[in-house]
Amino acid sequence: MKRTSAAFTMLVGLTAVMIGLYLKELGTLSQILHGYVPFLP
Amino acid sequence: MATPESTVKPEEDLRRFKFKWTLPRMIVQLISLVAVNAVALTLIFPNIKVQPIPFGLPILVSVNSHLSAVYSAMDLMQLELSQPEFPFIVVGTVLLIGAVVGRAFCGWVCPIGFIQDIITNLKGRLDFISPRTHQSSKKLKYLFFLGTFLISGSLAVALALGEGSSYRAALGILATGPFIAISPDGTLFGTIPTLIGLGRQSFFSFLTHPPTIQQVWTDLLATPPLLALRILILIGFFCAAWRVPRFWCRYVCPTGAMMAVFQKYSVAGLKRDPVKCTKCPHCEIKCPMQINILDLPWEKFNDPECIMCMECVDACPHGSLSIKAP
Repeated sequence: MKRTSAAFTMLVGLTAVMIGLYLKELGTLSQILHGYVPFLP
Repeated sequence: MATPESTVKPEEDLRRFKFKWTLPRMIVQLISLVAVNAVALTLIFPNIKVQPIPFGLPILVSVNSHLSAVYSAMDLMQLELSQPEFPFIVVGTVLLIGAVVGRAFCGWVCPIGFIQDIITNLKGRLDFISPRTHQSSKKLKYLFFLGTFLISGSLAVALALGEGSSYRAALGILATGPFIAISPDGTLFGTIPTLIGLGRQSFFSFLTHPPTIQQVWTDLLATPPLLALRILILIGFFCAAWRVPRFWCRYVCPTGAMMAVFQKYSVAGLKRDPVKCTKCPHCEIKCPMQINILDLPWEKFNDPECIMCMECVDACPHGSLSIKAP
């Protein structure tokens, strides 16, 4: 049961990474971080 | 008649040559501390150019720090949801790491965990709190995790539906990430180095022309409330780490709560040899997460609180604990 859960989690994780790469999420994230101003209240 | 060699018990022989995890783990933690703050190397060695990578790991490395080379998965999730974008790669990375090694990143890579380990080592002993308080308090981190994603998730949904601008305005600084705003790693590696950089010149004028008590009081009152709160949280973090080992990881850290869910089903775990184990409490005494190891099943145990620090494996005088994967 635990092995099945771990394998399923890995499969879902891998699928999510693939979708993210397909949607060019790293570029989007890079832009978001570039425009982010760190807090220094 | 027994020879001197035969008087050595097998357990003692085993203990003498037993591999200890403590030093390798500390080396990995030190390398990780430098690696995740690798942008700082460009300040020390101008020839080295390090660019931050937009990649999230299940550890605490703040997006508020200019020194970070990678970032906390929690911070990136909150930041992406505030845009609103679904963090596919970050979620996928967390799932993959969680399924394979569970919470091991807390014990081996997280710089905040390393700082807490240093504090505990400086203190020289592990103090534990009552089991009842521990059992109820460890659920707090799940509340922090849910609270963080309740705010970030609801904002993302509202923004995706085109109705979130007033909600974002109402949330103010919390809109970009409720946990980003108060996390001690951001204060320690981001705000404080920046404040030191800003205040370096005024510090020397402070030495030559000491201010009056009234001036100090006026400056203190002028401190922005969020900055004061963050510094108070950081002070609280250090005090709590001194009192209880890994206090932040046990009771507060939402990243730890997120990884604890996967720890239960992760490939890597520990096992206890019931033949060698004499049920002495050495492993439980040394566990910084206060896990009742002897109550767990011996074949393989993946307690959600276990950070795979291997302190129990090192502490066992009979060598009954070892890694089990899968």
